[in-house]
Amino acid sequence: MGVDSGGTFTDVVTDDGRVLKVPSTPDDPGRAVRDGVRAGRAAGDTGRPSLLAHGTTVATNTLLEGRGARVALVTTAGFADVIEIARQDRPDLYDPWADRPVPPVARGDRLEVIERLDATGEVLVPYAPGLAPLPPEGCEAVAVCLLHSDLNPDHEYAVAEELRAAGWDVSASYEISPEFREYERTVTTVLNASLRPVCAPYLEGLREVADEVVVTTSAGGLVGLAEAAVRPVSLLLSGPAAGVRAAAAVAMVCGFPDAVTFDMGGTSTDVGLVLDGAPASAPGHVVAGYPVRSPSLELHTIGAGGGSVARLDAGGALLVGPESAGARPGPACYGHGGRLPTVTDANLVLGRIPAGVPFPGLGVLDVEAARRALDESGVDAAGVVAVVDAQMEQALRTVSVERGIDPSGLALVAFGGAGPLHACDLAAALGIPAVVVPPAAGALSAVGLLTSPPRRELVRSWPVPTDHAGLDEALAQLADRALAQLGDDVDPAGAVVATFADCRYRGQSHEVTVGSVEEFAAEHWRRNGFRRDGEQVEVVAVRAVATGAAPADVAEVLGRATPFGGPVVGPDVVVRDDCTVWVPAGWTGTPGPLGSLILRPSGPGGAS
Amino acid sequence: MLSPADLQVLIARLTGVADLMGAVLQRSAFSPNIKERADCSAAVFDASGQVLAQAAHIPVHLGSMPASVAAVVRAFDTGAGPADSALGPGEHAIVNDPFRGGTHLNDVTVVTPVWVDGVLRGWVANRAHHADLGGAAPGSLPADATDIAQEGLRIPPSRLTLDLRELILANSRTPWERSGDLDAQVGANVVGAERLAPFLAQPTDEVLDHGERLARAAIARLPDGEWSAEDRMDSIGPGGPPARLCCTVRVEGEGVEFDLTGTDPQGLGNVNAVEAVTVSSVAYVVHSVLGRDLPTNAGVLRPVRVVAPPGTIVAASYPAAVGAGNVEVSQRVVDVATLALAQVPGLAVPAASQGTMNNVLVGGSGDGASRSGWVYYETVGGGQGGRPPHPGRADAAPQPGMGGVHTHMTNTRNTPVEALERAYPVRVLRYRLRRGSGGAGWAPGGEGIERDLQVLEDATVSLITERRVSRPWGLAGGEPGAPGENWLLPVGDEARAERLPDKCTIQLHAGDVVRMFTPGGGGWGALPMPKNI
Repeated sequence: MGVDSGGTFTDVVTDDGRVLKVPSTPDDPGRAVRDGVRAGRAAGDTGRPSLLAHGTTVATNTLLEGRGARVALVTTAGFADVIEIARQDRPDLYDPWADRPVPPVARGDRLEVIERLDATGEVLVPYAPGLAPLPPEGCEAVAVCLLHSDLNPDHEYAVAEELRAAGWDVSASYEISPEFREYERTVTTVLNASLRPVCAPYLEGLREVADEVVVTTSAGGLVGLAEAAVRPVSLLLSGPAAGVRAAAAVAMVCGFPDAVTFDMGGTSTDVGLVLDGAPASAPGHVVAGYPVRSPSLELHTIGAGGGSVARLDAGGALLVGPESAGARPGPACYGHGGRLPTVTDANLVLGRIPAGVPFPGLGVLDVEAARRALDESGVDAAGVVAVVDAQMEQALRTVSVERGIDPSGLALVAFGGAGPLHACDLAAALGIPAVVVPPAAGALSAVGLLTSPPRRELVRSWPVPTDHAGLDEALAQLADRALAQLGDDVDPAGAVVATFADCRYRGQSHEVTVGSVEEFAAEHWRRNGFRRDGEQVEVVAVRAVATGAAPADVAEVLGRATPFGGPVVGPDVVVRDDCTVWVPAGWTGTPGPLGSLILRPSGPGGAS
Repeated sequence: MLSPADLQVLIARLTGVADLMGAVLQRSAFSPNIKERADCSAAVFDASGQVLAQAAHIPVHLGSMPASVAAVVRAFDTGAGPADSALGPGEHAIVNDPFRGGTHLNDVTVVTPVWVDGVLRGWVANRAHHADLGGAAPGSLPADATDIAQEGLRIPPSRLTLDLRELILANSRTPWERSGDLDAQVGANVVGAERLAPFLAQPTDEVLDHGERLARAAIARLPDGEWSAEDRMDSIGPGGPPARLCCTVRVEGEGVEFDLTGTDPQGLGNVNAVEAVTVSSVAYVVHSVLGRDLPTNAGVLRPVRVVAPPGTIVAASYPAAVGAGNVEVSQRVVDVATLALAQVPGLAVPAASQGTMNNVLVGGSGDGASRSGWVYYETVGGGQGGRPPHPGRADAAPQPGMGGVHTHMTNTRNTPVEALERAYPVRVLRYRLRRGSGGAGWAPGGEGIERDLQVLEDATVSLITERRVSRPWGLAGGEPGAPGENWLLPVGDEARAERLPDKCTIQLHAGDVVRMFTPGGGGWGALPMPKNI
């Protein structure tokens, strides 16, 4: 069973293909999970499921709501303020009132130890054992991050062990984020320390819900409860990552190994790239302004969705977002007192969302209220859709064309409540020949929970970037460790491991992750438009990714979801409980594998 | 006339092209200056050289990128004259001459025409800070320069040929890095030109008109009137005298004038800004104080007039050295213009920020064997000024200034200590906020940074810093921030510490430490009186 916690609903998908929703319980999110598991049981079944795959918002919400534990930070003497100085840049060039995110450790909780490593990890000032500082009263956890510890963890290990012996919950940077760049490593370690006292009890509380409980990480991989509880900072993109996994799997079965994923919800939209069936991965991501260095799927998020508000600016241009009507009052057509026109109102007035059809939880939408809101703000419905589509198109370009990917070889996988409303127009604008709408498009993240592989990724800094002697041995060792750790969660039979190197040319300071040093020049050329043969290639870090078999096959999970019918010839609307599909004039939708709907431009060379 | 939606879609597309160019440049550049610190900009222009959209990277490039493109448009006949003088498809121009469209020599701009069906329809341009282009000291910002020839290689608007490329590389102390950065600049323009071409058939004038309407609406909210302020530079160069800046702001209806008449003449130092830098600074003030949501196009500046008398430190003429104009005079122009605007009734204005970029340039000739010559350039953040309640929020409270942050005309990121130490023979011994350096006030100023930098081999260091004598001012009863301090600790010995001036170039031996305290921000508002007294 897959259970995905969302803001409003908790989605449940069973391995026999049933999809259902129960209301979320933000005050105690575990209750909705248990409700969902109960609701997901087959009739007459009173036992617990053999496996629960969970997509959780607990880490994200704890961070966004500032409910994390108070953390003491131990740094190298002289560097306690790195956590506040950050990278010295400010978040907005022209708005003097825009603040950086609050430093996640208060000044009085920043502690220093006397020790120092040099730039190769050699000891300059030894750490004298027994001198770990005592965290101030009121701190619940400790983060330890010493300079250059990614090259040599000895000092950090010694400090962490002393504090652990004294009973402290310690996150050490060499364990949580062993990569160079001290600010990013410190932030990641501190956030982990802060999340753990909140997330660990929540996750432990789910242990009895199923015979086995696994959790999806930001990388769209499953890990056991124990690993998730130790490393909650790896869960910040849990739900969205699972959605991309499912989208990739559906696209693959439909014959599209390369795709862009387009998940448009009420307040934001996530787009991602899938190549050869695999979602593009990233070494980190940004949450609430904090750069989190933890393996992730590469998701590009924009702050616009169905609830984004439209208005005219003082110069007479039509703006959409970033203000959102949210769930309450929501779009004007919800009839909850919203007076501002949103993207959803525009879609309704244009007939892209049908009037007179009841939607679960919302009833019949109020077209007149939508029209009134648009008129009062002086914006026209088609214009609102055009502007929001331009924003979406830019995001889709960023993950495809701008990476050197030719859109004519891609499919656009549309999901989320609003994704299938905008997908065909976006595909047309980008020259993408096909749109895939999976069944259960409104609960795809829950589907992805069951179709994600168990996954462990290990990374370590490479000490001398220009000297590659021993690289193969190091990669092999790292691969063995990744496989061994994966074995903590799953049967290692059938597990596979791949290794990577983060490379750059000498003198560069941004890395590209590639399968081998030999692949670097070609990848650099694809991404950046040039290569420098003869230039020294540096290796900054090495990675190993071990994966196992997903709990369920996407065909099994979607096998019993209500399939799309067809063909549908545009202009037409297909209304489902969890999403609405807009088929514009000139487009035709035909039923595809797994009950999906595949839309293509009609006419010669189009629909087939 | 475009509909409101079509107008916004066109704006979004043009901005998307500029953003793409900036992203390509940052991704593929070589030097940490561009990649880690993002000291670069990208913009798209119409056929006449009017900027249509600029990616938000570095404010000091805001008004000065258009000057580079204008210089190229002037230098190259664009169709009227003999065909061989025009920049054809696939050709690029390059410029860094401060007196012909540049700012200071490090800022190299590559400008590329956008030809559509045999007609020149527009331009794309990007600018990157090159760490070294020759001159008297590594980094091409010798603190003691007295004329431009000492600062390095001056490139007037020129066709970027292979020959010229070789000449540029031959004049740099770090040619391999320069060549990588130039490749990246050309690559960004190639990508940008291709993406821009289809949008140039649309009425881009309307994008400029829209920017103008927004700016006029923002200015119209101000009362008419005239307000003046003065501020100063600590010195015009090492050991030199201070210099005065004056600014009178005149608001009339939908127009505003920033008149810098009264500012001191240029002198025998490098603290001289060319006019394009001053225009950038005023443009920044317009964006940050008058309208924080204004677009970055040429229309916005139509109702804004800048008067910068030629031959002064805010409109320097040949042969002035200009290295510090871009980085330091620009900050003071913001301060003096902001201080004048602070007197406008009803306008919310923060106290002065650190008012300097604290430029540090370190370079060595290498060990002659395994390591070649190296140059490391960095700017160091400081205190932001305390801020009055946010003007757009009814229940807002005053906000203290941020500490250890880049303010106003720059927004580069630091080079991480771990990246710095792995790339150069230097070591950071201490890197902290400077406790208590922010000016007191209801909203206190942010704190400066304390940093000790040790060189591990013999090296030359240039410091170009300001607010070492004068202090970032407070507003509305707030106290000024602490001035910055520069120190030399021979072989790191505290007992032998000697004070360094605000600007200097010195020879260091292996083990020597340069200690820098950067200024705190000014405080805003008087401290509330304690109750019950």
